[in-house]
Amino acid sequence: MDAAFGEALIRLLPNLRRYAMSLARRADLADDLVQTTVERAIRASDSYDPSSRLEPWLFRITRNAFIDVTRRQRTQGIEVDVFDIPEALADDGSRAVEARLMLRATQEAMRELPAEQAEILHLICVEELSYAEAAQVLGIPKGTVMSRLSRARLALADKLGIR
Amino acid sequence: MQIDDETLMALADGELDQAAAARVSAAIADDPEAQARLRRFTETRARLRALTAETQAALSDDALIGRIRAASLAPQAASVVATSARAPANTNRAPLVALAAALAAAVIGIGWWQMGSGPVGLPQVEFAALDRLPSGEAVTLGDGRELTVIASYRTAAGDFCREYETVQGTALTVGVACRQDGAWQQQFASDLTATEGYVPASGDIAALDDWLAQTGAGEPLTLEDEATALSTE
Repeated sequence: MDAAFGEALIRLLPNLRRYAMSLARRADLADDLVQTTVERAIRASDSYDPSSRLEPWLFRITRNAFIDVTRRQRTQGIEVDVFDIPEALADDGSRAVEARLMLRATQEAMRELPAEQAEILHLICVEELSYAEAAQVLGIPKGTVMSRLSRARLALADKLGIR
Repeated sequence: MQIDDETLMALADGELDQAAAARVSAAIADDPEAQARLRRFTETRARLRALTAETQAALSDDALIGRIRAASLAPQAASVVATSARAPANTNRAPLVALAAALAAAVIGIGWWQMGSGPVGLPQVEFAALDRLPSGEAVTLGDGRELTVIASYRTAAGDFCREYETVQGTALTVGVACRQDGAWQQQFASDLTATEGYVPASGDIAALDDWLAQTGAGEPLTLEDEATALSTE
């Protein structure tokens, strides 16, 4: 594994954590997913094609790891959802408060959406993958990405009251 | 001219080439209804993008960064394996590299066998458990090991296969066996050493990924389909 790959991987740790969190919705599980992703990415670094972006390649590893986990957890019982984010609304200008409320509302709406919709929104609108890259991560055709994404966007807009 | 939602969304997402973007923008210039639809796409994107502001570094990042840098310093070990371009599913054919590397990992793959050397028949006790137990149920074998069936699959070739694990103390083995001509044939088995408090949920079981990818096994069977397969074959 070369150093440039390592540094790129380090730079993307926050993105990986964010994506893992969006999949797992639990901090401890997201932590495990990031760790597994890093281990597998290091071992697989030779199969990464440097002419393509690293994000989709990594996200695919994370996603496979997540599918592993869920497959095994089906038989191990459900653990409690602890999506705890400390509220810190005090001591803030009103604009910051408003921004934070918007953020909370967006997070809340994402959690209410079906997982399939939340996932595609995350990949494209949060992580800013292209449609083609998202298709690669999800293993579906680009046309399916577009139809699923547009349904998800409109569902989110409805929840957020964007008319 | 009516512009559909997906085209407006592609415009909002910067997925249209310059000419197409100009054409669509011109077409909706005098169309407040289409502009409102476009806004739903641009605003949802902006709202979601704002979520990145929430991202914080986690405590465990330091350990991971150390782990990555250490791997960068030992560059040649990994380069002899995994030459199958664009196929990350197969990259764990380097158990020794994983071992040397697994300083911070919660679980260490200490070896796996029988991949590529053909399936082997299973002992009678495991055989009986796989014939009978629904996924999620466990049985204690004669030698004290506990066998839990994790899931059932149907491969692209039509074989009925079951993923299971056996545990004794901290020794954990994950394996897959398929029923062929009425007998269970083990496809692979992977030993994992469970560390204290470790739940083998997100462990390194890439051998399983490999198997799933190679055999074209899809999603696990539902319990109903599994019951049918168990009773009819």
